[in-house]
Amino acid sequence: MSTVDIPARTAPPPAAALSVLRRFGRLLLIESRRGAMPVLFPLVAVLFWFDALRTANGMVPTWPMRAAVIPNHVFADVGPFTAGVSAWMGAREKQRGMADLLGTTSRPRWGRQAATWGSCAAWTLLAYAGCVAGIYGVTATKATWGGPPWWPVVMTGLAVVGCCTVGFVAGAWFPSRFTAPLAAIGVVFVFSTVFQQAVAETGGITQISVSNSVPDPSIGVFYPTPPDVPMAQSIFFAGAVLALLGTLGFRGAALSLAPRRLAAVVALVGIAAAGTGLGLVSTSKAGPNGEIIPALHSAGSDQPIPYTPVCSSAAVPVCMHPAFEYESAQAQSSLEPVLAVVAGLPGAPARAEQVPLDSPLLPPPDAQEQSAATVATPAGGGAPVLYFGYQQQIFTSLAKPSNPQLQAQAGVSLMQSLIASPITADPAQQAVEGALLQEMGLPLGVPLQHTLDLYKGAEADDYSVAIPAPGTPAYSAAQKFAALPAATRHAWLAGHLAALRAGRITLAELP
Amino acid sequence: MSALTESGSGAGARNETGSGPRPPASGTPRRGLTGRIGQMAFLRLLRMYLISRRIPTAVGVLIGLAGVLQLSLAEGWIHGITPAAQQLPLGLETAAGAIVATATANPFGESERTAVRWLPWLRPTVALALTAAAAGLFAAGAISRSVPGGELAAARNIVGIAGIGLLFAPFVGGNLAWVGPLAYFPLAEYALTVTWYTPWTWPARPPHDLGAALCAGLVFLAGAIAIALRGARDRVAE
Repeated sequence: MSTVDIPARTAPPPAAALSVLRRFGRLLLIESRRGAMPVLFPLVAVLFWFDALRTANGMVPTWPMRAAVIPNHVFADVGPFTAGVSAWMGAREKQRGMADLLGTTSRPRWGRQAATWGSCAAWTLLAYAGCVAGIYGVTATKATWGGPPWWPVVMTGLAVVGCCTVGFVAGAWFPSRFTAPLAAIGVVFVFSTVFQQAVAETGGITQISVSNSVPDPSIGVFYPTPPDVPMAQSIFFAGAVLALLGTLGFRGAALSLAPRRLAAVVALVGIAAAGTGLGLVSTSKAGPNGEIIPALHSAGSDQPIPYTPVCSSAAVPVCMHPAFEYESAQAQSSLEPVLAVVAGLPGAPARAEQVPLDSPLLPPPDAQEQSAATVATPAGGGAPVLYFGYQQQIFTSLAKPSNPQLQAQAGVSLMQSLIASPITADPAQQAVEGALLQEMGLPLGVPLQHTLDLYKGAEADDYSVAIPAPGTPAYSAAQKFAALPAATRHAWLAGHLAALRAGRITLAELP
Repeated sequence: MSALTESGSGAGARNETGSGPRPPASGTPRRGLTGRIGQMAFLRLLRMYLISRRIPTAVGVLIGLAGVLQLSLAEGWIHGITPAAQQLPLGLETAAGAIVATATANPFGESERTAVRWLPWLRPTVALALTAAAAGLFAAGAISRSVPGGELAAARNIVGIAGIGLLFAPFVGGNLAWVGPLAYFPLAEYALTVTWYTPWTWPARPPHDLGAALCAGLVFLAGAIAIALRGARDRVAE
């Protein structure tokens, strides 16, 4: 048989491919033992504790809020370090004077560098996974509803690997002692610059920033947070990693055509993916529950998340979303005294129920208002309900024992529902409302500027009107009515509320 | 007798046979020659030292950072005096401090440390000169623009952050000394956000704050002493 008759081998047999994989695995293991990242683990751990973990522990214990710490803080703690260390690892061959020696080996440079990069990425992901476990582990002991969101974790993980790859490629292409610090600080600089642009804008290409918004405590609680932007970001970061790794295949003149072709394919796939991700993010815009990307958005994700409210054991219970159970004491201390004053009266609410602040059930709050309350009959019928909503604080340290604004809004809303609007009320109605509001904790004769914001269409001058105005007969009647024992007042109201609401009772007829 | 032997000998040096002190034939010219040779040797040592520490590259990088600062100010990436606006200049100052620290990396290892008696003086002096150059270049980079906190604060921040890097160099080596400034950055950023008042987080303090300036200066002094006494802990293999 001549050599011409031997068929050309197009692909290695499976055993050879396995052998290649085994060799790569061994190389990866050796590189992992020699990696510089573990040396910096204690420093990263201290930074993580100081920055990310302490911030997360100070935040309200809802899963979406705690998850926001991952792109906002964990990335900032891990990303720059991994970029710097990877740059140092990428430049290691040259720094140690081994480039020429290793360049003459039979193994392709790309495969050798892939093993080094792989070890960097593995250590980075291990550190990142430790940080995520720390935050989610603590949150699991505090959160009262829901589960951990995974899209921010996936996206930030890819971004961290992206930092690792940027640093490694920079180190491989520009092996200098200054590459590592510049790669690390470069990540910080780019991250900070894009973040500043992203928080100042709604939608657009700057949303590609790992951290692109100030978290809102109610996001992901009543409605799911759209995963559109994190999905597009993940596509971008994965593509960027591939594109950067592909560029390593073009280093060195001794590479044969096959590895170069493979590197070109990898780079092109990466560029296509990164371009797609960037293109998708550039079409992002504000949706009802966060940033959405029309091409990725599913209308089904706009549906409310079902939940069973957690109610207090008072005569008129105050029901909260279970995610905000930690705030139930504040809501109860604000609303229960208000509800107790009118409990049992005809038309009085049977319970108070928390809804989102931007719910159509509530009057739209003004800029100064952080809460809203209104009495309405539920869609399915039944006894009226006091619906309330308020802006949760990001940090638990800012939470107060009670919410006076919500208390006042609830009181005025109850008066409007049971008797009449305090602005249009007749003197007798004003006197009764003034006395009841005083019992609820709103001093008699004090202007109700903020609470009257509830009544849209009221003129600005109306805001300063005290209910009732001091010195008027209604004010004296209110003082007299307020001086009655609570049981007497309640009994009189139970018998005369319909007549009072209809305007058939005069000041003289008040007890 | 070689020039080096001659330059190393004093009045009591022995002659080539080692039999006794060599009588000075004409004292002043010989001492002058010795001085000139010594100066030349020192200048050569200085040049070699600067090259071995990649100081020209470091200066080039610092010029580049000053250029980025100028670009950031011109493009409006840095605007106002809010904590967020101060983060970008702080990042560049951190980079400058990290460059100063990384420039201490010793490519010759232990052998250099044992052979050259001028190194304990050269190391802090060059670090000081490079830090001063960084501060000057940043001031030039902010020319005709307003950098949040002012040029004085920028100089103070660079001095302090470079000091942290110098403190790290004897322990982790010059090549990894940048981790010190990089670790300080989130701390300073946090201090900017929550308005901490300790002068040890000097980037969060006003430009004319004496305590902050003293702390930054003390850290640099400690770093300079550390680098003078021990040098960067680099092995040749690294």
